[in-house]
Amino acid sequence: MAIFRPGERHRYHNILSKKKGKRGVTAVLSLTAMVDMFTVLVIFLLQNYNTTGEILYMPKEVTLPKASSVKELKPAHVVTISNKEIVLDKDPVATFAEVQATGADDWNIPKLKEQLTAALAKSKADYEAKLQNRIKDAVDQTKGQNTEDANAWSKVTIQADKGIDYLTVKKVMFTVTEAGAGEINFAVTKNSNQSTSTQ
Amino acid sequence: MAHIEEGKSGGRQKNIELNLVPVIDLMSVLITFLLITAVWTQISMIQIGSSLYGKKSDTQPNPTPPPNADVVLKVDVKPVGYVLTVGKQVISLPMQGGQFDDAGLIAQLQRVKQIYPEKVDAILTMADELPYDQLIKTMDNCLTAGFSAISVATGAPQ
Repeated sequence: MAIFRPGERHRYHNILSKKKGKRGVTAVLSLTAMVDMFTVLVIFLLQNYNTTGEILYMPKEVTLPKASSVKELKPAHVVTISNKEIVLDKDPVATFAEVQATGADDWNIPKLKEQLTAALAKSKADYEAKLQNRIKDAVDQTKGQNTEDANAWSKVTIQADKGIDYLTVKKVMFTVTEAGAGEINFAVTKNSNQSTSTQ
Repeated sequence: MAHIEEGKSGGRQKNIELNLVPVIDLMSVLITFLLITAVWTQISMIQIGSSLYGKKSDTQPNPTPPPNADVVLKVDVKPVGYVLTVGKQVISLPMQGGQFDDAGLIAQLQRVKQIYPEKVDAILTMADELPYDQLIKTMDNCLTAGFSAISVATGAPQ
């Protein structure tokens, strides 16, 4: 290929122009295929776009363990256990060192128990207030959409780092149960290389 | 290019060009937004079975005992390995090359499931010093074998 001196070039320079005497060919890009691809991509992404699911706040220091036999995460009060602190719904209730400092016999975490009891009482009041709407309940029952769990307000999700010692997790579980929680769930990352069991 | 050709009506053909550039712009913005807001990590949950051995409360009804509840199925997770208790039978599953013998535990649990097909409950105990990850792995093994009502006992393994 010929080497040209660098610098400005006129738009009708001999590098860019066709051979003289022949008409220039106008290249037309077919954009239809690209629009089709974009449409398919948009539809796929919109289907995957989950606006109803609760976004679980994950601190950087928490690495969830992996499991294959899992269920779908449901909204609940979240207790996060990291190697720095214990957090209830983004609100720190105790430091990790404080919990470890308590003896193996004293499993109660007072501030966690106090705040979780209040949060559960509020959830229960909200649930009972919702029950007052009998018209909506009747409509839902007629439609067969009344799938709401009666004990949904009492559920608590524990989101702990996989390296935390079991004694600390046990202390949190004990306190959560003492605060009046009905069901404890552990947040995990879904292990994709194994089949998910349907229970 | 996207265009509409009209039939020969009055001699000259009309070529109406559709301007697809704004459509592509809109699509690009939409795709970018959706890709940025997409959730890539699927967070799920593992459920502890009904609190049959837990604290009783006034609001919740007493849970009915699951079938074959008289046959105790207990998995002890110790620093040296798994110990499986089925009724009066005790099966030790020591560590294999520094790792817990998960395959052996699943095989033993599946054998128990074949003997007691209706049984769904299991009790789990774990040593305090072991990591939380091991608890989830053991619970996952129990769920894989078909024991869905897992209770976590607070006492240390015997």
